[in-house]
Amino acid sequence: LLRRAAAAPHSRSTFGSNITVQDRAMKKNIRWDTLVFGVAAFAATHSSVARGENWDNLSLNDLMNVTVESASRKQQAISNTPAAIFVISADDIRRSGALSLPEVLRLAPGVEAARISNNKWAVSIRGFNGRMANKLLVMVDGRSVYSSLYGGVLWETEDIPLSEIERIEVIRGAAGVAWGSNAVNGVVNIITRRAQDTEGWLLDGHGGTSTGKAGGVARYGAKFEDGSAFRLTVNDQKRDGGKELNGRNAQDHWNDSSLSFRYDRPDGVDHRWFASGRVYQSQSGEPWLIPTFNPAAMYDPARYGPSRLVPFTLDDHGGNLLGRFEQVTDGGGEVRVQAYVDQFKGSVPAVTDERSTMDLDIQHRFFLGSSHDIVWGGNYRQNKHTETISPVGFLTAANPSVKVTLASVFAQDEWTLVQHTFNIQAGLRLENQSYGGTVPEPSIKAMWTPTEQDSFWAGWSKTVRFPSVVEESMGANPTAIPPAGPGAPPILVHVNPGAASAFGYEKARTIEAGYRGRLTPTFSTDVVAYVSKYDGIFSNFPASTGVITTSATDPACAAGLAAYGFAGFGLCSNLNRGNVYPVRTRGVELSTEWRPVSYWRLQLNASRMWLDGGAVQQSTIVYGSSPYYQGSLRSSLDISESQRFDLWWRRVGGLPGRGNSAWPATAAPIAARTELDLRYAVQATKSWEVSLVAQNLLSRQQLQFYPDYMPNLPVMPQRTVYLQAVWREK
Amino acid sequence: MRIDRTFLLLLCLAWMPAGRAEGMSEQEITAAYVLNFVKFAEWPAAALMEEGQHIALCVVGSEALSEKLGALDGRAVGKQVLRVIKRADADDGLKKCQVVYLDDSMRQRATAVIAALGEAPVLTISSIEGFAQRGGCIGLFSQDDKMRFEVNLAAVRKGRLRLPAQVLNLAANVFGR
Repeated sequence: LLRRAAAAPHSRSTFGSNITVQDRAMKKNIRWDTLVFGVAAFAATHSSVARGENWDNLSLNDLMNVTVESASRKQQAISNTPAAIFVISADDIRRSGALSLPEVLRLAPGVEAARISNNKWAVSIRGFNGRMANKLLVMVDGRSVYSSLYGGVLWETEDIPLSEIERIEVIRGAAGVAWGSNAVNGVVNIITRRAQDTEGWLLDGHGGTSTGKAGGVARYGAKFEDGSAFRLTVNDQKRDGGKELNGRNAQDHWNDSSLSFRYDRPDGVDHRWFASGRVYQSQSGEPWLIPTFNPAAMYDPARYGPSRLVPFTLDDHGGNLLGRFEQVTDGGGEVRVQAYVDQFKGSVPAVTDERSTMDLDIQHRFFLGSSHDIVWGGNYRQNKHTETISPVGFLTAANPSVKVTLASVFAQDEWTLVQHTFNIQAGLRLENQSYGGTVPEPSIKAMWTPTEQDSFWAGWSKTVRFPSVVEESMGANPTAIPPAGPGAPPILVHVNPGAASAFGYEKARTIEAGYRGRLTPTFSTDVVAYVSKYDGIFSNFPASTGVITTSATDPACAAGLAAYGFAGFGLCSNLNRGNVYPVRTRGVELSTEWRPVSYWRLQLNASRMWLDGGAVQQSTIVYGSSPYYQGSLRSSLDISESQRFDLWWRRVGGLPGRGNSAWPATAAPIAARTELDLRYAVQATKSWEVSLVAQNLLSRQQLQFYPDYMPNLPVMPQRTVYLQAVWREK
Repeated sequence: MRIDRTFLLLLCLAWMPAGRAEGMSEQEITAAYVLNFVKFAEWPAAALMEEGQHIALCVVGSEALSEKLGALDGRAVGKQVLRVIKRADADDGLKKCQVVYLDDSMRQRATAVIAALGEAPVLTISSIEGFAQRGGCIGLFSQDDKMRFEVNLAAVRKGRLRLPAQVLNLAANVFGR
C-alpha cells in the first residue's frame, strides 16, 4: 500500500492556484484510494466540494467564519523532531468520547492503557506495564506527576477536565536529556489551554452507565484589556464500579472533584508568564484481597486462595500551584523559569502518605552562529514524605518519614550541518537522586530531511530510572500458604525492602530509528523500530541466606503470621527485591493517517513488541504485563456541517494468567480483546453540542489486567453508554 | 471473523453522505489572512520609498505557501505593488522585506529571526505557537476548526508600523496595548 501511494503520479502535486485543477487531482486520488480500501464506493460521488469564492477575495470578516478543512499543522510542527512523537489534539480528544486521561492516551500508537478497575489504570509504553508502570514520565504543563513514593502515576488523582487540554505530546522512547530520569520508555506531556483561548462560559454535563454515570464541568474565562486572561473551572465526576470475576458488583466506584484556575499574562514585547493551580479530592473504591489463615474469613478460596476481602475507599486529596516565566533574550534566545509546589495526602488500605513537593526548573536556549541551537538548564526537586502504616499486615515499612531529592543539569546542541536537510542532536544530563546517586544520561541523534515531505532519523540514548521510596523502604507479606495437612506448618511469603540487598537504579540503552513521510497530500505515515537493553530491572529474587526462617527464631516471621491470624509454629519464605535482571525489548510501531476526502479521516496505529528476558521471565514484575501486539483504527467522519460520527476499533493482545498477589496459582490467561467505541455528535445550535457515546460495545464485560503492585480484587470493566451535552457561550 | 464482519458493517454504516460544509485548506486561509494584513498595514513613509513603491512579502520556510502567495506577485495593493519573494532565506537580511511570513518549520529559529529584525519596519506573521507573545507582530492559530489571529501591538509599534482599529477589533487577542 505504501509503495503504491508513493508511486501515484500526483503524490508530489503542488498546490496550484487554479482550483479546478486541484479538484480534479483530488478526485483522481479518491478513486485510487477507494479501490484499495474497497469500502468507500460512494466516495467519488460525494467528493466534489463546491468551492465558494477564491481565497484572495475574502475579507477578514469572511475569514473568521471559514472552516479549516484539515489541520495538518501538528504534523508539520513535529516533522523535524528526531523522536517517535505523536500529538493528540484537542479535537481528537473531544471526538474520542474518552472520559479519562488514560483512555485519551490510547489515541497514540504504542501506548498500552489497560483498565485495572473503574478507577485504576495501567499505562505504559514499550512494555513493563503495571499500575505503577515506572518507565513512563507524565507531565502536566511541566509539572511531573510521577510519584516519588511508588514510582508511577496515580491516574485517579490526575483527572483534569479533558476540555482544558490544548494537546498531548506522546514521545515514545528514551528522552532523558530533555526530561530527566524515569523518561526511560516515553514521556506524556499534557499541555493545557491558555486562558486566552477559553473565554466565556462552558457547561458540560453527561449521564449514562458504568464509568459514564454522571459528570459535569463548569468553566468561566475572562479576558482583560492588557491582553491577560483568567479562567476558573469546577469539575465533578461520578463512576460506577465494574464486575467481579464471580459476577458480583465490585466496589470500585470513583467520585472525584476539582477546582482549578489559570492566569496568562503577556508583558511588554516579548515576555510572558502564567500561573495555574488546582485543588482536588478523589474517592475511589479499592477492594483488597489480604492473605489470611482463618478459613472462616476467606472470601472465595476456590478463586482467590486463602484471602479475605477488605473493601476500602481511597481518599486522596491535594493541590498544586505552578508559575512560569518566559522571556526572549537580546540575541533571539529564550529563558524559561518555572516553579511549582504540590501537596498530596492519600491512603491505601495499609498506608497513608503525606507528601509535599517543590520544584524549580530553569532553561536557557540560544543560538551560536547560524548552525548551533543550544539548550541548557537545571532542575531541582524535593519530595518530603510522611508515611503512616496501619495494622492490616500486608505492608511493612522501615522509614516512616523520608526526603527524596532530585537535582540535575543538562545541555544539548542541535547542530545543523546542511541547512534544512541534515542535523545532529547531542546532549547530556547529569542527574543526582537520594537513592540512586549521580548518573550521566547521554543521547545522540541524527535527522535527515531530504524533502519537505520526508524525514529519517536515528538515535542512541542512555537513561535511568531512579528507585522509589516504596522500593527502598517497604516490605510486604504478599502470600499465605495454609498448612498442607494436620500438623504441617503454614508458610508465609515475605518480601524484604530493596534497601536490604543489591539496590540502585535501572539503566536502559536504546537504539531507535524512524521514518516520517507525507506520501501524498492526504496520506502520511510514521514508522519506528527500536531495541532497548535494560540492566538492573527491579524485581523479587530469592534471598541468598535465610531463605526459610521459622516463627521460633525470626520475630518478623512470627509477627507476619500473627497479622494473618496464625499464632503457632510456621515457616517464612523470604524473598529479596533489588536491581537484578537484564532484559531486552525490540519492537516496531506504525501510525498512518489517511484523509480520502476532506470530511473523512482514517487513522491506523499498530505496534509489535518482543521481550527477551531469560531468567526474568519468571518474574511477575517484568513479564506478563504488556501485550505483544496492539492496533487500532479510527474513523472520523463529518456527516454534515453539524453532525460528526466517530468509530474507534482496537485490538489488544492477550496476557498470561498472573492472578492476584495473594494467590497467583489459579488465574486463567487474559484473552486478546477487541474493543469498539462509537460517538455521534450533533452541533444543534452554535452553542449546543449533544453527543451519544458507546464504549466497549463488543463485550458486556471483560477483564483487561490482573491487579499488580497492590493486592487488589480483579475487576471486569463493563460497557459504557452515555449522553453528553455541552453549552458554550460564543 | 465475526468481529471483522461487524466492523466492516459498521464502517459502511458510518458512511452516510449528506450536505457538506464548505471549507478551505489551511494554506488558502493563511494566504488570505496575509493578503488582508498587507492591505491594512501602514508602513512609515521612508520604509516604502526605499523599495520603490513595492511591498516585498518574504515567505520563509514553506514551499506550499510560497506557491500559494506567489500567485499574488504583481498585484496592486493600494498605491503599491506587491512583490512576493518565495522561499526567502532567513540568513540574508529580511530587513529589506516589508512583510515576513515564517512557516511552522521555522519555529525554533523564530525568535532569532525577530531579534535580527530589531526595529526594522517589518510586519512579521506566523502560525508558530505563541508567535505574537514571543515578539512577533501577528500570530495565526486555529480554534474549533476556524483560524483566528492575535496581535502584539508593542511589536507592531516597535517597527513604527500601524494596524487600523478595524483589524485590532477582529483580533482574538491584542497584547502590549
